[in-house]
Amino acid sequence: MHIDAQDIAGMQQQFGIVFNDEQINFIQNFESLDLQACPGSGKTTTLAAKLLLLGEKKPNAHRSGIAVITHTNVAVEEIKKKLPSHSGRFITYPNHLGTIQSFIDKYLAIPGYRYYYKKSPYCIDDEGYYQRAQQLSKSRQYIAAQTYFARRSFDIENARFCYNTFNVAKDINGTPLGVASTTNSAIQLKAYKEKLLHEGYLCFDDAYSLASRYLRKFPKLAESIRQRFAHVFVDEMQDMQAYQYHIIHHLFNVPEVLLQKVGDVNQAIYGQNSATEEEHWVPTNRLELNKSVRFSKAIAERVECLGVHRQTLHGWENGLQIPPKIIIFDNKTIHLVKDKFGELIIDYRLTDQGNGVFKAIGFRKEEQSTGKGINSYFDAFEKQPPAPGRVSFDNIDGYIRQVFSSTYPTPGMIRHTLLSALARALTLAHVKDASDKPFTAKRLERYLKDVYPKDYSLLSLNLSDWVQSIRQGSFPLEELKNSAHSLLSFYSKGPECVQEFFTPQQQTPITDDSNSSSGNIYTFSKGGTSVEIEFNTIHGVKGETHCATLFLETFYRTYDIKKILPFLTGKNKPRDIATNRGRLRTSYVAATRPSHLLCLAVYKEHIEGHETDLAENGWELIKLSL
Amino acid sequence: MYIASLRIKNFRKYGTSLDDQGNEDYGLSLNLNRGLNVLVGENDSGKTAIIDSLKLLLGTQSNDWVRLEEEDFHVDRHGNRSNTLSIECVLAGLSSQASASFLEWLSFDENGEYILRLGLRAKISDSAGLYNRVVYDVRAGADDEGIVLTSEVREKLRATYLKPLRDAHQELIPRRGSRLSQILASHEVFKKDNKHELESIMEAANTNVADYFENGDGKSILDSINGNYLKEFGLANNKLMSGISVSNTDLRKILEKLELNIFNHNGHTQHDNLGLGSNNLLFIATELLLLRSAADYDGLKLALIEEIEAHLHPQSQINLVSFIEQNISELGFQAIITTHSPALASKVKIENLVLCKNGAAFPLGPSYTKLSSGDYEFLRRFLDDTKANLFFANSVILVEGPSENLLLPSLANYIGKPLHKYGVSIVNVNSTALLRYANVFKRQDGKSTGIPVACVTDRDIPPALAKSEGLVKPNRKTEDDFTPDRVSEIIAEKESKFSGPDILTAVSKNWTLEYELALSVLRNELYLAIQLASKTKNLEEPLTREYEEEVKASLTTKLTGDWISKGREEVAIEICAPVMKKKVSKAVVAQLFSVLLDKRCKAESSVQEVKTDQFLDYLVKAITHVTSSPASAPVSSARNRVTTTAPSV
Repeated sequence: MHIDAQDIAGMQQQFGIVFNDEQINFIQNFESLDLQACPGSGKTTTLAAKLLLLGEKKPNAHRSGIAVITHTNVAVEEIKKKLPSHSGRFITYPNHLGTIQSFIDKYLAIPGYRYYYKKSPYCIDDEGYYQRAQQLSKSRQYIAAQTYFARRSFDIENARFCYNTFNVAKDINGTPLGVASTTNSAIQLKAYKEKLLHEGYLCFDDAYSLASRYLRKFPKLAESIRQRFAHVFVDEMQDMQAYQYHIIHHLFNVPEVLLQKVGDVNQAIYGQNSATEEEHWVPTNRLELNKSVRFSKAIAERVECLGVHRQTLHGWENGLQIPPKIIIFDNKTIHLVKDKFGELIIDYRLTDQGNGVFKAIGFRKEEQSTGKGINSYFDAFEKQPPAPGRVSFDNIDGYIRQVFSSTYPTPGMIRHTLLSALARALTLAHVKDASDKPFTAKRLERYLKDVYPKDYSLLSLNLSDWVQSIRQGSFPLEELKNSAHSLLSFYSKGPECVQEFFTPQQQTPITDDSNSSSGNIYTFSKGGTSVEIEFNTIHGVKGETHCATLFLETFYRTYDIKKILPFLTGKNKPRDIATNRGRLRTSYVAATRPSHLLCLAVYKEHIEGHETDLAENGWELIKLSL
Repeated sequence: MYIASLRIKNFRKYGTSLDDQGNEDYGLSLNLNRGLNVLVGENDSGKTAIIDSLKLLLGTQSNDWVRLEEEDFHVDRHGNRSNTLSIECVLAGLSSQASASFLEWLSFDENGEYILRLGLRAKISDSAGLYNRVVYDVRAGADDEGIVLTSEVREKLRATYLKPLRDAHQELIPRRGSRLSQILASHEVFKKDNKHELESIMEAANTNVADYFENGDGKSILDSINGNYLKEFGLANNKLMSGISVSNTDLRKILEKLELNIFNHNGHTQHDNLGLGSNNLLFIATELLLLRSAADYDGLKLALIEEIEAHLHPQSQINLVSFIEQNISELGFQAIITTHSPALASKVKIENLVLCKNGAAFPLGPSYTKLSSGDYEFLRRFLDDTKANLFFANSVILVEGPSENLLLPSLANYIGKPLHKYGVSIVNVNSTALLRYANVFKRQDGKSTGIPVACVTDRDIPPALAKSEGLVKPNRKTEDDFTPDRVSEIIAEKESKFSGPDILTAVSKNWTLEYELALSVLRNELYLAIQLASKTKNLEEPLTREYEEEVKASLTTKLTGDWISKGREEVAIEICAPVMKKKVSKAVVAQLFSVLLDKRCKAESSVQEVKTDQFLDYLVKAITHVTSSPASAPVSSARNRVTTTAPSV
């Protein structure tokens, strides 16, 4: 495949940017390789341009598909956003654009499940799995195993099928249970896991183990998958778990497949083995993107020292170069940190700069007796509302929050959520469908359509009314409850079965409060200008770009920034890297978010002794006082 | 990739059956060959239902209008219409490219080979559309639920379908969207991204045409249009000008202008006078081109041809089907063909035939019937046109010689069961040993085909008297050489040898057909027939009235004379002697006997006497067996089970 200057020019026009040499080099390269991409290197845009060109140039006769595999859904969305809407074919047959989980589910785990059990799995996700697993662990058949392992501080719902053997183990890697397989507890635990599997409840890990078992049974599946996907691009490679890394390699690391793995080894904050914090992916046959289009030279020079695998970062030079700051606080001034940050934003007039996003981020959410969390800086900080993708809740609250949480829910999404709530109510009342499976929104709809067509059309009418009323801001709790009651009456069940479900536990507003989802936003005002600062975790802002970022020191085993200060001054010993790998990676992710202003918030005691070195290395220190 | 099996539940003739556990199962479960499958069977036997089920499930290349109607839902014997139906097929033999393409829908068979299971499920629902109450979808996958196929993948599964009444001429002439243009367009030589050579050729021609009108003789026409009229019609600021050219030179339009012609032997195009038959051959050839051309095509290559014999005379039919049969593996597609033509069915290898009968279908390959594989080749040679009637008959009588062949129809007629009215085919296999061909109707799975078959054969142990009278060779064993128990055993062995769910073997009680007749109430007719036969060799010499009278008189003499004192057996031996000694032709005797039988008194009592005669009993049983099961007989195996337990004779 040849991509010439004209092709590149076309893409530059389409994306409205100019690709640098490194990016062009990657776009033109069609050999298997690893791409080490620094933060803000524009890798998603570059990858999107490459995909578009590949889609254009791939000869028609060439029937194989293109697989684009990521670690998270966020990355999938990022790529989709970059692709023009008419290029929807990247997500449709014969191509695949999705997470590694979705890929494995679609091509191996689900077909494998169908092969072994002659039906579809009920759910492949942790929430659905744990809901059922916890319920089942209390049943009498498994109580002996449950108590036995609980005494050894192991919850049986955490048991997994081993990726390599499909034996029941403590985790997917096959950590032994610590009891002989002939003991009652082990036999019961095995029966318990198999029961869950047979019912169709798989956690994410189980899907990989089942996929791997299916692949071992039919090795030619790997051949077919390779033939189907001759071009494979893996994004967020650094975050892949050991078994994910293994399966990608097993399937695609062959000469006939073009496999390009893209990621930033320094930003690996998910995949590494927590015990050793060693990477599975170390870019070997590598190409690099070293130029960041995100942050200033002033930031680039300060933060490259946080890379576990040191990569020279090139920031932009023409524009406002703000030296990074360290805000020094103590227990009395900790609540002023966010105000200082706000003040800096306003003083530098950053509200007109960059993308206008300001965030304060940290590793640990909540304050513990041992040390600080994000909420120590901003006590209103709380958990994010549940993601819309969640399967089911045990209380109507969850569904209420869900319909009001997403910014622009489509009527279809709301309708689906309401049906899910009804299905959940039936399940909680121990009502199942004709084939003895718990109801889901889809199954409930199909069932009513078939068995009670009149009631179905009535429900359809109601649903459309309710969607209206939700869009106008009020949740039809009573109506929904009545509908559930009448459904239950088909099974001679009284309303009491779902009483608890339909009683909101929290004081959740029944109406849409536009601020309800913005509990993590702090608004700071000075001199008639106000600035909104969003609080979040480092994991939560992975891949994002901010105008200004405040990196908050939090406690997890130890204070994180305290440990990385020596790296900032270049005074660290080489062996420190090994002991601080994890902290370095999260800090690297945190520090590489902002385009203009980077602030660290550090305890006064931790900074002592480093002040001079830091100042000499270009950091500006700001001491807070009352 | 080919269709390995097809299962149908509640679609048209195909209802449901019961499996071994007594659960409702598919009404049709049919395995298909990788290459050629010829569905044979009488009208209304379910051939078209099989073709249509595949059309519905797969769709067709020519996008024929196929839609499920309420009438397609099976009506059971109580007159109740089912409100669901399902059609399922398993595709096997996937190439590695096909496995890659169908990956997410595949499953494995018991040998670990890839298969693709496709299922269509339909129901009649009041909540469906305003006019149409039938809804259905096609899904694929290892479990019953399956997953929906994307449209791109469904495209790869379309079958090439040739309808029964093909207007071949219409399909081949140039017109918008002509089948010829579609087929050509999908051929790889027309799949070019750049400008196609044909387009350049057309453009050049177009330039010449335009030039003719601008600079050649045509100029006067254009000048006239432009100068006389358009100039006047146009407004000052909107002048009108015209030019003449061949319209549209893009590839699709060019292909639509093309016509496929047959050259006569002088190499000139044969216009107008091309018969329907030739047009059909041309059309089929074109369709096959489409199937063959895509050598590395990863989809299904399946031809569904209804009534392949349409418009073709028998020699062409045989020629065409032999070509397909011999070349199908090289052509690389699967064909499912229906036919009413015995001529065609008799030329196809039996293992490629699927017998359709009353809503059931029976592949006739060696793995399905009890016919030994060695017999397949012989049976095929043996089957000529007439004998292929076998596969279109309601029931069959197999006989081992010409006497039975000629005589049975008359006897049936006489007892009021004319064979033609019951659609009975009578097949003379000319040898006792070949009665084993009946095994082609015997299923390995023990199921009934619903085709009653009677094998009529002789006990073949002569009575002792036959030897003493010199009618058999001296070393031949006779009745006296066996105990009576052993004789009964031998008869029982013969009877059980070919018997099965539908097969009855009728064995003569004593010796041969002629001997039985000579013992029976019809012995006078036989005597006359034999005596007459001895006077006329091969019926060449006309039988004079005088001679007939003479023979009749001799019968009267016998009846009133020495037959009175003789035992019945003795008389029978005497009557048969000329036949046994080969002094007269068995066939001629049978012919003459038939004539006499037709003339015999039809009074109730006379008929009854024949019906109840102990010596004719085996023939009457055979006739009753093939005429008692009406055409409306059992369809599904569930119902067959009922009939087999009930006495069928």
